[in-house]
Amino acid sequence: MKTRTPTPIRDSNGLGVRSRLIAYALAIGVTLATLGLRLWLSELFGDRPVLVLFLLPIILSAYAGGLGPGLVATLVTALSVDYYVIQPQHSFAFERPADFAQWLILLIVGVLVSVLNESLHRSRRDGNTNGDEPVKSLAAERKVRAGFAFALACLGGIVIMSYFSLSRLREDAALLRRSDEVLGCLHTLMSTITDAETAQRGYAITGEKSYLEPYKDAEIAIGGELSTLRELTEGRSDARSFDELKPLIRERMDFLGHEIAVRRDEGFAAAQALTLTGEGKRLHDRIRAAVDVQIARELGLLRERESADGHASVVARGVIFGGGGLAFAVVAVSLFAITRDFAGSRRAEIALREARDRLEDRVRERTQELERRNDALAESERRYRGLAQLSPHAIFTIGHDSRVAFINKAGLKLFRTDSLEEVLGRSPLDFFHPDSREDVQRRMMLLFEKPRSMSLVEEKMILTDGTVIQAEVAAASFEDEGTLVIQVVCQDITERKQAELSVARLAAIVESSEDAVISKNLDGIITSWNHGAEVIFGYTAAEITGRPITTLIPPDLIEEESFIQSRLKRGENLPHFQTVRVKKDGTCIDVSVTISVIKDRDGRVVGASKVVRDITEQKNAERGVLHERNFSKAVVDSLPGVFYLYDRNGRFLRWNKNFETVSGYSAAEMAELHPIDFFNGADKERVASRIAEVFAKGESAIEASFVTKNGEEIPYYFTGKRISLDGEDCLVGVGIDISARRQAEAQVSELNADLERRVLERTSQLEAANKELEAFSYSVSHDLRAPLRTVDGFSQAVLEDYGPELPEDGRRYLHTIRRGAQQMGALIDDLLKFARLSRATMEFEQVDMNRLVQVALIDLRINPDDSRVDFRLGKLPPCLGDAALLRQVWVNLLSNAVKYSGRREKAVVETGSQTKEGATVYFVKDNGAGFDMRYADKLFGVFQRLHRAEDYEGTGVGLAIVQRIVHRHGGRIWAESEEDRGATFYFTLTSKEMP
Amino acid sequence: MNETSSIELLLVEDSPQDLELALRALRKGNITNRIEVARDGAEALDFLFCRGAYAARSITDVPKVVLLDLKLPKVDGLDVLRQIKADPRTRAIPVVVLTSSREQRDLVESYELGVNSYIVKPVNFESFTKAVQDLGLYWLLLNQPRRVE
Repeated sequence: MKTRTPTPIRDSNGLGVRSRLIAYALAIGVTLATLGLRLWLSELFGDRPVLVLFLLPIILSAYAGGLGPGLVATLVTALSVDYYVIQPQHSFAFERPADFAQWLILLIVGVLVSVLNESLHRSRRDGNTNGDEPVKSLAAERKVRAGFAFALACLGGIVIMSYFSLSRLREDAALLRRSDEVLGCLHTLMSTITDAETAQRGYAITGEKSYLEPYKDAEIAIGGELSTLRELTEGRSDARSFDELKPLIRERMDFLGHEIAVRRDEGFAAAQALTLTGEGKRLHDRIRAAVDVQIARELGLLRERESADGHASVVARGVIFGGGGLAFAVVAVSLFAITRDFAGSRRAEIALREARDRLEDRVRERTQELERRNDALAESERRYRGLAQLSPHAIFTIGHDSRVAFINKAGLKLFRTDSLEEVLGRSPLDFFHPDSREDVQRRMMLLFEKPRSMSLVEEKMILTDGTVIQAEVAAASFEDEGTLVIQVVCQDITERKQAELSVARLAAIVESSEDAVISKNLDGIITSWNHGAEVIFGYTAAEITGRPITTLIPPDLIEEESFIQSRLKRGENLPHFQTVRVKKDGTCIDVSVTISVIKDRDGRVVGASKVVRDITEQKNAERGVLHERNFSKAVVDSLPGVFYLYDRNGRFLRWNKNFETVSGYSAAEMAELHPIDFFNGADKERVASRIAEVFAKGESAIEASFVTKNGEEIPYYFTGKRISLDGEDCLVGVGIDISARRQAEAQVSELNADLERRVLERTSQLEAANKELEAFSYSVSHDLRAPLRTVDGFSQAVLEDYGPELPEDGRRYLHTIRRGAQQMGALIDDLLKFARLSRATMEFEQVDMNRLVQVALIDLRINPDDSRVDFRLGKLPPCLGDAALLRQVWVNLLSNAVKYSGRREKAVVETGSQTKEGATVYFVKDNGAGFDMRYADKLFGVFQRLHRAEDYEGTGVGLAIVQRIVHRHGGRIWAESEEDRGATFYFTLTSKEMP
Repeated sequence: MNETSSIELLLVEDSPQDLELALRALRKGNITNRIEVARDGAEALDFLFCRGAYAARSITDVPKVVLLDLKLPKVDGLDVLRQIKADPRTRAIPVVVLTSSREQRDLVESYELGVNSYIVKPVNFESFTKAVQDLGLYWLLLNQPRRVE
């Protein structure tokens, strides 16, 4: 609490007025805020004031501002609480004494708290002004004051609480008394009513008027008793329940009056009858019940009050004894504390006096000792300075003012100066590199804190001439003439550092080298082994160090080592040579070795350093290149054609043996020739342009005549491809002799021409034959028929002109001649028709077969509806074919069918189609003579007939014609028959179905 | 000359048998008057164009119809047809080819040259007679030729 004392209060003067005003404002503000809070929380607390809340702002104000603000806060609280919080609100009156008690306690506590805090402030202010001496007495005084104040507060509380407890007890006793009176009154009322009833009954039985006396008394008494009861319960919340009794009693009394009147006026019987209704008894019972309820309630009230009374007296006792005891205890504790403090301070005073005496003695002793020591120190310093001057290390001293106070000669030398002035009095930081300054400064601060020494560190220093050096610095601080000074020793280590660095660098180079770096002594024992050696040979440094170098040399080369040793002993280096060494796993590797002697300072050879490089890969690559070269040479030489390689200038770089053989030029001549020199005439330009194309586009090819040395020209096919050799574009290619191919080509074209000629020849022959054939058939058509017509015509003329004169046989002969001639004519016609079929060109089209059948019947001059033949014409699918030829097919087949069924009484000819294996099959069926299936193969031959001419006329060409037409349509024709049982002719037109 | 001036039918036929049969058929059909017969193509052309033996004829006196065989000596029947149809004076004369040839080639060429009818001579004499008679009737009696004035 003490340390958190607010600043404004501490200064009572100067700024005090202002801070006081602030304290007052704070007091009012906090109080009003609390009031607001309390009002805001009204719902939570109900009508209980909870004034304890207001202690908080009072204590705060008193604590912050002392008496004045505390009292202001208390006053404002008391007034505002009375007006706003305590019932009745908005009035300064008190409804309940208990509230008043609380309010009073708050007021008193507030005043007390203010007083107490004021005293605290005052004592604190005193304490501050008087130094730290009275802290203890302040504590004691505060305890005493606080204790007494608290005791007073307790006593005040007790007095107030006792007063209220007592007045409460008095009130309760009055209430108890009143309850007893109410009970008595109720009992009296009940007995009065009973008396009235008894009187009525007596009168009813006897009819004696004297019995009515108690009734009349009761009439009068009841009014008084009821008003007494009313008075007693005046102001009580249950007063109205007593009012309910009044009408009941009134009714009962009226009924009693009525019964009496009935007895008086109508006699005993009527009264008895009225009594027997039970009305009177019911009313009486209701009154009794109501009174009993009231009595029970009153008794309950009484018990409650008695227990409240007991409780209140317990509280009063608790307040008196508890408060008294607490006050006593506080006073007792305060007394104890005071006593103890006084005793303690007395003891402390005695101890302090003794200690002061002892201290003075020791100060005296110490002073003497210091004087002695100072003398010794001066002596020692003199000696030390002498020593410092002699030291080979730079030594300087930094005084407490952080300036250089002393420097020895070695120091001046290190700083590269002769004058002390350049160093003394300057800040030591001036001599350190900016990178180091922060570090140095920090260390100086540590050294100036207390005597201590600092271990050796490396720092960069700047000398008087500006040179930067690396220095080792050690420092220590010690007390000198009462102040701390720092002694610094430093040493220039620049050279040493550089040496270390170069050694480290060398080691790093050796270690990082991919080559094996090995050293050995003169006995051939390995003494060092780097990482490269580990990689190349497979031994770790630990494994191989100490073993002879001959471990690495293959047995068959072991003599090499003695040669090397002898050279080394003479001090000769061995510049690099290639040899073979053995790895840890026994495999041999190709290596390149360089050996240099190691000499000591005196120039004696003490060993050798070997640098070994693994050149296995390089060797392998060399072997690979050699192999590749041999391979390509073999390939080039074995090429069947000529091979060449030349540069942009046409200079031949390489060629194969075959080139020389074919061209006839020697190698020496070749070197002088240009590629173009191997061509003649127009080829020169063509080849030159293709060569240019190769260099421009990458590749090309050409056929040209290769001209040999002796002028022979051979057809060749040359290729060229651009390649880059050593950064220069060259042309590489081969030439192949194509004379054989040329010859073959010539032969082929000759053969072709021959073939063509022969085809033409054959064609014209065929054309001629065709023409002849045409002329022949024309002649047949024209010339053969003319004589027949003559025969027929003149036979007819004979018959017409001389018929009657001729004998019967003569006429018959002439008829036979005519028939023969006509038969011959028909034959010729059919044959010509048949011959024409092979020549006629066919025009394929969609053909309606149904229509063709109709047309054929018309051609045959048959009317199907009006014929002795029964035509059954089925519906036929269309087909693709030559309509004219197909018409002939139908004509021939139908005429055959009609012809061969002509002898039937009922001839039937049927046409139709069926689908067989995907093809449409047309058929013509008759029920005529039919034929023997054994001769079916002869059916379609020219002039082949299966019937005798006198039975059925015909030329034997009709079916041959039909077959030829069907075949020309790619179809097939066949017949099925049985002799005398009719025949069926089937045909298809294409092996495939119509599209 | 007078006779020739009234020639109504020119029959060009080299075969004497066919000629006799044709004349017999015409005669049987009562077509006997004013028939001139030429035995080859040249003679037929001479008659029609009034040349040679027929130089005295008037070219305007044209026959009503020419029955022309195709296979003729000297000048072929088709040539005769071509010349008749090529000359405006004779173009109007109806020409009926009467031949043994059933060759399509002949038929097509004849029609291309402007023939008026093409009859194949049948072997059967009755048919032949009927064909000739029908032709004669049609061209001589029924058909009204265009008069060249």
